[in-house]
Amino acid sequence: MKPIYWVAPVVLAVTLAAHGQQIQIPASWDQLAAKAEEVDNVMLDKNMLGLAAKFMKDDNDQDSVEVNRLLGKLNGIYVRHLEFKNPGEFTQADVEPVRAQLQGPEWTRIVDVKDKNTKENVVIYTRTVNGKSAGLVILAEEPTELTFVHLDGSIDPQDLDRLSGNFGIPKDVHAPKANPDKQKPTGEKP
Amino acid sequence: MKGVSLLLLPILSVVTPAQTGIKTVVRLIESRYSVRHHGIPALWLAKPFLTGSGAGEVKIEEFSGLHISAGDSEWLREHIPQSLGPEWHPFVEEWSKRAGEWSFIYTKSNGEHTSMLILTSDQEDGLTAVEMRVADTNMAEWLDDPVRNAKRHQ
Repeated sequence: MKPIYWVAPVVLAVTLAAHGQQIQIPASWDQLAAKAEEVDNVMLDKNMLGLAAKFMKDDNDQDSVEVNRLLGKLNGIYVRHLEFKNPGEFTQADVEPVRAQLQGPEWTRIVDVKDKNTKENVVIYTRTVNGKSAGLVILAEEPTELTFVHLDGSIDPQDLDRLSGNFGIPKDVHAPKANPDKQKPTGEKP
Repeated sequence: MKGVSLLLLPILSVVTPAQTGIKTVVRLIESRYSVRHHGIPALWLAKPFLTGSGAGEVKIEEFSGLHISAGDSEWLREHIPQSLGPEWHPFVEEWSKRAGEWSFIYTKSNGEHTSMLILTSDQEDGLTAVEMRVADTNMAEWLDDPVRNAKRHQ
């Protein structure tokens, strides 16, 4: 194939990648889901978010206006929540392929909360492209629960408070405070 | 002229995508599990109430004797989106081994209307498939808390 023919697809792929990047959930999570007691998957793509913005709009409600503004900047909301019967049914090897995708130069870990008592670990990553916010991922692990939330698109971590509890996002996921050590870890079922 | 029309027929049938929905899913389930669906007797009596609640064009098919466990629903989870094609989007997938229930929800929008296809299974009623047009207010509720609404429909 002459070089000119593959330039266009490559440029298109790079452009698409720059505008939206879906984190690939490893196939092992499907096997985990088969073992899990409770599973919740929510997938809201750009079209669905457009519908949400349309249906939930209420110009007299400031919260609704604000949520609409946020939805308009997102390409998708993807939530996976798995709940197991016993501790140890998932391992770090199951979580590692997700973490590996969040190690690139565009991703920054902004919160990493570990609670020794409850053995909970919550990590929040943000994605920045050309100086602009382009996504946010929350990975919450508890002994019997595993939660993954991906907000694909332009989102400020401070905006989490407005979205948590809606669209399948766990309700106790909050924006990072000044001192993240004081934060209560997330992981409650959406 | 007739000859030309006959020649065009196979081309048109390829070009025009078949409409997918509840029938597609019913056929898939029937062929996979060698079962037959049945409709809801006198559903027309309930339709005015359903329409009043905001739902429209409601189609319901049941497989009351078919019990697919939450663990075994994986095959359907994988194959339903392939059968439905790109116009339907997976929206919510949730299952509970503890309760022996699961539901998969897909949506389709043509800009004017939004349709929802719900497959839900529990120990008591077996598998039920519902396709309906969703009113704006109901859609807002669904989007607000998709998982809770999915569980409520079991």
